[in-house]
Amino acid sequence: MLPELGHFALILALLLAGLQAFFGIAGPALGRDRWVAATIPAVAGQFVMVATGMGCLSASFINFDFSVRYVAENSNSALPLFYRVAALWGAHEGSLLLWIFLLACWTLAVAIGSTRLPPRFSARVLGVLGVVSFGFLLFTLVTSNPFLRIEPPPPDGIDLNPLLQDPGLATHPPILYTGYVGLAVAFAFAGAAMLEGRLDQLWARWTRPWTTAAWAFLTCGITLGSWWSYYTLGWGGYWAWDPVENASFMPWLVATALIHSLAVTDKRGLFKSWTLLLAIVGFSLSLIGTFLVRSGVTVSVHSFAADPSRGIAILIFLIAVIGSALTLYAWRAPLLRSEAGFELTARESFLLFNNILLVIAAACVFGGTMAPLIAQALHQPPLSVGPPYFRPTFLLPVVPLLALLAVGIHANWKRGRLAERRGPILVTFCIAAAIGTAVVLGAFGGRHLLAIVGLGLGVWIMLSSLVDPLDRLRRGLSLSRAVLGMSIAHIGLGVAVIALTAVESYTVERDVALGVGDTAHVGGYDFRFLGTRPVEGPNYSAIRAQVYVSRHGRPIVTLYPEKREYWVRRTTGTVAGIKNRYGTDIFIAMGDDLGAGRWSMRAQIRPLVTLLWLGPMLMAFGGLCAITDRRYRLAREATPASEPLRGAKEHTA
Amino acid sequence: MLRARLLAAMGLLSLVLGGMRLAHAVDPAQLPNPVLQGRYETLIHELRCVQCQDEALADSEVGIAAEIRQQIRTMLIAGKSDEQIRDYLVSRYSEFILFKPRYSLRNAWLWLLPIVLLGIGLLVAARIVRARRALLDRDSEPVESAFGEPRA
Amino acid sequence: MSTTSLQPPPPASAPHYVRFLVPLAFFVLLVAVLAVGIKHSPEVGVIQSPLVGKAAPAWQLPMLTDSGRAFGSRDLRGQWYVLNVWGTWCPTCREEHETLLQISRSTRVPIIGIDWNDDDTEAMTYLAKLGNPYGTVTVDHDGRAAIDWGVYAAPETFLVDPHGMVVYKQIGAMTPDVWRREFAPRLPGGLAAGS
Repeated sequence: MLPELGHFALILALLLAGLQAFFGIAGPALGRDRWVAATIPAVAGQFVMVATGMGCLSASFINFDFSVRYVAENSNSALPLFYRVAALWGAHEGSLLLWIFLLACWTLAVAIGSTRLPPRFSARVLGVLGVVSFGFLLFTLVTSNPFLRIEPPPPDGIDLNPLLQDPGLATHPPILYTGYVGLAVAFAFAGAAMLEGRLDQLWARWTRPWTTAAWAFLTCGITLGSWWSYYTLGWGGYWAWDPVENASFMPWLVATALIHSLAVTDKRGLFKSWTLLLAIVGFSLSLIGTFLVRSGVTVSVHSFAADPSRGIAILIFLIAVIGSALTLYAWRAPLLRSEAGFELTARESFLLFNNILLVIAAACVFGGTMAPLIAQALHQPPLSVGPPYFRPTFLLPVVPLLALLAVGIHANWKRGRLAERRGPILVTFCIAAAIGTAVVLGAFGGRHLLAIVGLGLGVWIMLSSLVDPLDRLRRGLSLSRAVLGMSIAHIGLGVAVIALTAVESYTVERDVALGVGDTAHVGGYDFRFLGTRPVEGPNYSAIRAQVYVSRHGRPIVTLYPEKREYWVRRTTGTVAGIKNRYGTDIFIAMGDDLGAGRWSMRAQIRPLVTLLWLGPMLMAFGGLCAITDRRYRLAREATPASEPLRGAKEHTA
Repeated sequence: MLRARLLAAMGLLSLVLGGMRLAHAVDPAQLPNPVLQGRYETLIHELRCVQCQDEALADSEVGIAAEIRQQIRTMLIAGKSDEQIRDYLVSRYSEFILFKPRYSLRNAWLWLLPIVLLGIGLLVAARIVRARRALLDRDSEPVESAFGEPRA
Repeated sequence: MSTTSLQPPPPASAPHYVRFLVPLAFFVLLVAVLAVGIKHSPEVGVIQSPLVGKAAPAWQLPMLTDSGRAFGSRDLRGQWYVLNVWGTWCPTCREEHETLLQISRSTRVPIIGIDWNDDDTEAMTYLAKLGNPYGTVTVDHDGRAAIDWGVYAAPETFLVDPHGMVVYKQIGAMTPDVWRREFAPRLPGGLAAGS
């Protein structure tokens, strides 16, 4: 009964999304204000129907309804409640439903947040979102219906993939998708601007909070995935430049460029067509990422089960949505102009460099990810691209970007006036260089030039981000939320750079074979193997080892890594023993039983890894802080006619 | 029996879906000297596992991966160069086994991409900055500083 | 002016308009690449063997039935042969076993087996129970020969000509259809027969 209700709810949602799209686009175009007004009820209705669908599928999982094929494929009578709920997005069909649900949430939020915006404009935004919802709902209902039944129902399900039975599953996909899907809002604002034939500073100010919010969620989502991989799946591997990982990283790079470009368009009315293009490309990359994961076109650990017919369906959807957006762009964008000027050392200039370098980085990642497919299309022998390509080609634009950030953050709009800031720039540079060199040579015993550069850049960015806020506080002035958020976010970036440098340069990793009582010396720590014993879990049985860790004779911790066997799916899993000591991870995982009580094990020391998670979280927090600035609320209450917007006058107290 | 067949079908599906494998083969074998060990570790991280193709040779716990690693160790001890080892594997498994595309004319576009893009980026930046500088003289609006105070 | 809407600006040159078509053009190319990708997606993960059209590796392995004796490419010089890499642990090999038996009965080309990463006793029991399509079975315990042949998953089947050149490689199960379509036409008349 419930699955049929859910299925029916999705069909209704499809219809309502269609109405939302129709009223939202045709209404303003034809001047029918009643249609315009009908958009919001359509949004609300679609949301309710999609939520109902999600609810029905959740209920089927919670109640062990194995007559629903998707539940049977991803659940089991022994699966704990927590994972039964999270299993909803554990495979293709359910994760699509999650996509649709989050899109409905964003749409509802936009509808609520845009009540004071010009109604025709906001209707267009909702209309474009409706088109995307319609496409996804249609695709789901036709090719990937999660409510299909199995007759007769099997006695039990085949269990959720054990790799997914981890808290990471509960957090990573929903938050990541929130970010992915959130870029649709910027896309919709861009679409509305093109349909309306107007794009101005006020438009930029409306778009900024939504884009920054999506960016913040995407930052968190990617970091959570990386964290999950590090602790559970990859044993210290946090980024593999896998095609699907790249598919989430490229939108992030473009979104970062977009939030900075929007700042320029907002402040000075510049880079309009560029900002428009970025808004389109950002969400397009989200959609292309969706395609890559679900079409079976690439080799990836993240891919859902492949199906060429699904691939074709998604491709058609991509052509419709991205193709029309880019066609509109080619038609409307040439007419966008501005006459503002700026100097070489102005803030606009630095943001221009920021955008160029970020887009180059995204293009390199894109090229590497697509290279195998391109070689295939050109009938060339197979090409294979992995981390040894991505690492250097990514660093090439990013290192200058980080350096320019540390300098450019001091620049004023329009006239730069960097000469006035010579003092702080030099001082921060010297301190950063000193710290970088000292730490690398002292604490880590010298080695890479790159480590000095990385550490130095991270420190320099942090210091530079602190200069002006501290200066203002010293003079008794208050900080606007936007400025505070920006500073926090940049500091977070500095922290992340420091962490990445430390982890990449100074990780120690060794595989050892240990008998009971043997000790391995890895990275300055001693690992003593004390033996194993069998243990049982809710849906697995395991062998648990006991390893005593010490350093220079002083005890640190006893770790208990496990090697598990999951009953239903008959797969093995490993759980590492990890201790975090002043931000450094001490890590031990079991390998194989070598017989006679001997085991092979992997020990790792990963310095400053905690900062690798803290940094991006700070970045996201900074973004969310900036969104709450008053100027955005005021902008939502302004209309183009009443707001001349000459660059400076609003209240950034 | 239909039920059994359906269960078998789901089992097959699980094999596909369960294609996510855990990384990491723990391989305690060591080479006689640190230089060889260093080369070995670089090589096995640069090569793809031919069966679990999203993993590096270093990380895969599949049998063929262990055997190829053993083969690499043997060749290193026998004094082969890194390039010879790569050639050996590529001649049997095609360039797909490499994570790092070879420097060749065919792959030139891939490796030159960042440099070319940087060059283009530089040109574009120069053009825009020059154009906007020129407009500056006509532009007399006051603009805020980065942090809120009006400046001319 | 800081706010602008789309009023007619001074007329711009054609290159100005053309550059805004670049994203769309790029997207069209991307779609083409992705479409080709979909077409080839069933083959994702299948490694195209570079050995096809080249000399087969020289190999020599102990025989299953007599581990003291070695057998290899030297013994097969000057004749066509089919090389099948298999193991008792491999479910797909079991599926193709019947086809191999049929082929072995209907053609004069010997099927040589390499039992890969397997237990000798289990292999002998397996063949005794299910039938032995192989002219000779050899064992590869450490994977050296398998790597030499570029094997990455069982079963894999090769067709080698009298000059020692690999003519065709089948990845995955051998079926009567594959034999008819790919192997039989490449053999000189009289040697192959359908099954």
